[in-house]
Amino acid sequence: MLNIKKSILICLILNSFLGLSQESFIKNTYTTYSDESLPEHSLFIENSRVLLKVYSKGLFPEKNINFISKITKDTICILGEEKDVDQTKGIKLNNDKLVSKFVNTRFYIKSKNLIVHVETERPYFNKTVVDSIFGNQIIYLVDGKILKSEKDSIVLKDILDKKKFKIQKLKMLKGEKAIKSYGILGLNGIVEIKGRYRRCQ
Amino acid sequence: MSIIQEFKNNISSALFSGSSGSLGSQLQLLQSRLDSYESSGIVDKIEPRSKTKLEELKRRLKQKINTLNIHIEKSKGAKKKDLEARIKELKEALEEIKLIERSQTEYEFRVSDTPDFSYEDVADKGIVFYDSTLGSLLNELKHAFQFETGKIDFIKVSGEPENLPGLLYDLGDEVETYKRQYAYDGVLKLRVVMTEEEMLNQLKSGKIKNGLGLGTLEIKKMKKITADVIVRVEDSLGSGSLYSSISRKSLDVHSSLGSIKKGNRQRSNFITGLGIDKLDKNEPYIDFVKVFIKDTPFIYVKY
Repeated sequence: MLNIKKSILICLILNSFLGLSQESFIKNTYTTYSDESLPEHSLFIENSRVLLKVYSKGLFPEKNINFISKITKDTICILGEEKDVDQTKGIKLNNDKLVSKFVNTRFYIKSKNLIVHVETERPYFNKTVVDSIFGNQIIYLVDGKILKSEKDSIVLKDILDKKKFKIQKLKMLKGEKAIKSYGILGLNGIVEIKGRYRRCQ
Repeated sequence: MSIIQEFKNNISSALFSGSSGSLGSQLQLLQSRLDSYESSGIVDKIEPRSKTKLEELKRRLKQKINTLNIHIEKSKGAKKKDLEARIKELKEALEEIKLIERSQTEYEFRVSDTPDFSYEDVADKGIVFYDSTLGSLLNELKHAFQFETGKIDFIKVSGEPENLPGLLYDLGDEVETYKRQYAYDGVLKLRVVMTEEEMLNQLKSGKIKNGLGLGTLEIKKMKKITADVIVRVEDSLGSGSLYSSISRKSLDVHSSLGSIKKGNRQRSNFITGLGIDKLDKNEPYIDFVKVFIKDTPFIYVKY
């Protein structure tokens, strides 16, 4: 009897630990590509908190929007905007385009490093991972080989030198197209180059 | 509100009420206030530490003007013209600083990674955030001057912790600030969004010098700082621009509501939020503001 009680207790502890680990599983900033419909932004997700951050530009101040959300094992549901600032002062704007794009929508948690906005299929990548891979630089693919390091910039210089490299095909992919073709690598855009080195004379 | 502005408003209201007695008493009252204002000299409301920075800026501006004047003697053609434009811009900066010093609004400078100019209505305070360089300070001070002269405004929006740039904020205002920064620094480095075509052309021509650092634009001539360039300023390639949501046409307090509406198509929530869409398009913005702020004082603009 005691053993059964012990087992139940252990199960409960394990379960609560696993539950906790699922909740704290996402505690990161997620970044995505931007386009005409959405300016540069990121999502900060911690336990049940979702914060949308739009970066400052010119006189536009940084914008932080707290969302009321419900996070389950594999889904984040955005239920509404959390308003903690005095709502009685100032003009009232209806249909804030930015907020309406997120409210009553869901994110599917694919992994710790990737969440996908279900309604638009827009992927959001773990910012720490993105920064550690390539920061905010464009990725070059030369005959399928990725150039991304400082050393590779010398290779690129050779490739851009008409005397050394003959470009046969050049293609630039950005935004959604780049992401669909190359996943995380396409976040800042991809330049596809195909060609061959010229023979030394 | 400045004393001059108060003077103007009181006279207008006295004239409107049609009572000569009222006008006379208002004039007497305001004359005495003007006298005391004049005898007190310049009303310096710059925060003390910012004042020291401003003095340094003025000194360095004069030095820069002298240096550029020396260079101009040895220069010819386009380079000379550019130097002349820079000197003109820096002289204007010195004049504009005088107006900021005399303002009834308090100004404070703070160092920040994200340069910005914001306005706090409760304390009537303009806060200039700059990235510790004088070029950046000049850039943001230009915004302060634009605010002082009714070229930009701020609007308090319900639920927003900061006042947002109003409907007068346009691309031309940003061009002016970047030109000011260039005039001091002599070079402007911007991260810009390149169109696919431009990028491919650059790749084909092999003119890219910075290896993987594509999208960086280095400007070395003032005339190259245009709205077309500024609208593409970005932090990372392929990102959407907030600048594209503001008017390309220059707007100020005297612009018509029609122009304001046309220029702010991307910010239609402001137009409908203020009810501008239902008003006469020929009415000047300032007339609308005067009526609007009587009931709901949430637009901050100087005129």
